[in-house]
Amino acid sequence: MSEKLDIDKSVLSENDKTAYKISEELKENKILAVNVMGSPGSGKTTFIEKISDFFNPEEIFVIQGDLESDVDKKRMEKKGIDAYQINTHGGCHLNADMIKNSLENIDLKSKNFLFIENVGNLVCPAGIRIGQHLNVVVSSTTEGSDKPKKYPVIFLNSDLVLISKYDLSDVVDFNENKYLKDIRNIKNSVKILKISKNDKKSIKECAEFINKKRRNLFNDAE
Amino acid sequence: MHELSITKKIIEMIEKECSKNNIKKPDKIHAEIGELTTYKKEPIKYYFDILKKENHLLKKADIDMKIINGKIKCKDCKKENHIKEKYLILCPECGSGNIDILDGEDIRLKQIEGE
Repeated sequence: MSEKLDIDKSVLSENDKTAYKISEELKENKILAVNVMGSPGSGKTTFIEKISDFFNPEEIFVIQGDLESDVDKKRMEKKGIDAYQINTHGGCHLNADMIKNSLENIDLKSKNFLFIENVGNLVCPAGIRIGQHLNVVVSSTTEGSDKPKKYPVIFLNSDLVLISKYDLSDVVDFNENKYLKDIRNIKNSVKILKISKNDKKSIKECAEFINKKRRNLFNDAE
Repeated sequence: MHELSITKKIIEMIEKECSKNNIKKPDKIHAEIGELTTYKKEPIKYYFDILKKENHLLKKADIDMKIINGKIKCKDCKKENHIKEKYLILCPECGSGNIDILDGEDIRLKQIEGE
């Protein structure tokens, strides 16, 4: 006879459990994990390259997520930064298991920051926990000012939005007021910074924000 | 593509629960999907129907997915409400953007019918 078996279990919970373990392990090592998300070409890798100038290369490490190739890993290594490349071979986002496996290849001692560059995609990485303590969305002026309205979930899940290629706003007619209004409607509390790769001051502000987040997480007075 | 991995995860969970509870012929699977997740029910059903063909246990099973609306609690006026506009997440009572999301962010396996 047919029976009804009540389950009521979260499908996302297995990934979330792994993500939680990663987050705790990193915390024990006093490492802040930053999930860097955004479209392909928005400037995620450039942002990590540039912000690394405000840290000691030895205190950061990077996990790169791409469908194929180790182009980004090589860019990091050129800057003297430890990097690990994940190839998803078609997968549209990173998940907690992938990060867990990557961490087995990295010596956590002496590190303070982990930057995880998610697969270039403004949709799929948004809701997947990977053990991060901070969600950053890199969103460039060249993509257009309608992105928050068109792809709200990723902005809803972000702690920091970086408007990248800000020096090109005039050239591409970036409507900043509309963009900011749309983000505020999605998530009022999110921090927004404008950056350009050649404007060191703008990158320094990001480094200060991320540094502060780390200090807050660990109640560190240093 | 996006829903393929989550559909595989759902099937993995169904297999585990069936084996644990000695269900040999599941015919109806009930699941819930939050409207604030990045997953949609149609592609999950699509992938489920493809994957079940290769799966001895689930060959005759159907999946029914219910959408769970986004629910919020305003941190300012403390009132709970359903989200009216999906991503314009403001408190409909006081207009504050200072909110907690209570529901609509998960995918849950609810019930298995079968013998």
